[in-house]
Amino acid sequence: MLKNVMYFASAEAGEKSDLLGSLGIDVRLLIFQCIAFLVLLFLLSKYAFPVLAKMIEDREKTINSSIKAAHEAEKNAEKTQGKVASLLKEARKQADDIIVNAKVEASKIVENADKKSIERAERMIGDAEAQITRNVADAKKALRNETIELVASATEIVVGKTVNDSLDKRIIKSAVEEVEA
Amino acid sequence: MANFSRRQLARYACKQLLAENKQVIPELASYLHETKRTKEAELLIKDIQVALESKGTVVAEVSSKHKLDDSIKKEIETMLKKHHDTSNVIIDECIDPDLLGGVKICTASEEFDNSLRKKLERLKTMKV
Repeated sequence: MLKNVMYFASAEAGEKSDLLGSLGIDVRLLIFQCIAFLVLLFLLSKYAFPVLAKMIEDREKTINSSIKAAHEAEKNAEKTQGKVASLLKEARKQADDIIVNAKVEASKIVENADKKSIERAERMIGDAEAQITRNVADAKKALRNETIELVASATEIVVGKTVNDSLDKRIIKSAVEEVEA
Repeated sequence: MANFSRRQLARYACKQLLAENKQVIPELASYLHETKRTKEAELLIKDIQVALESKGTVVAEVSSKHKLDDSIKKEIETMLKKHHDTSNVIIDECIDPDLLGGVKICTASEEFDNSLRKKLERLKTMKV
């Protein structure tokens, strides 16, 4: 049976080589090229493919690690965003508190300033009133003195003209009586 | 010439005046002139008045604007006698128009100024 197969195969091959030859294909050249291809394939797989595979693998690793890092960064960013949001919320709350405190402080300061202003104004009014009182007293004194001076001068003039002998006698009499008393 | 103190001179003059020796006045004047003490004349007169007052004779200088009539003089004399408890009062009258009115009586130890001038001065001292 094996002999039959070989026979038919060789017959087949003979038929085929004839077929390839009719197509312009050199079988030997083809075989040589196949061998050269195999040798090249072997050499490439022996020396070049491992290097390339390693490079690709490294690159893949790098890409994977980058993706991982990007994922982590994204996660971190999300976490950070959450933190930032909470921090912003906290900061807003603190800012609100600060604003409220500042408003309270400001109102207190304004209140104190108002109080001080009122006190100062009252003090100034008191001083002014005291000054006015002093001025009035001084003016009264000055008026009194001036009046006395005027009265004395006027009396001197009038008395100098009006005191005659008889009036002077009466004055002297009363003066003597005054001394006696 | 001996140099006597003013008090000694006043005591001497008092004694002489009480003995009615009026010559003592020119004597004293010439003494003051001789001893170049004429500036003390006013003070000597005061001292003599004090000395006379201590011996019971009051010398009063009575100043007024107008001449005093006798009744007023009598009243002043009576008042001074009563006041100084003495019987001998000598009134030395002088006219001073500046007094304006009233009377000013000066003795060796006291002064009663009841002139209108003094009253006006008192009024002026009421100034504050």
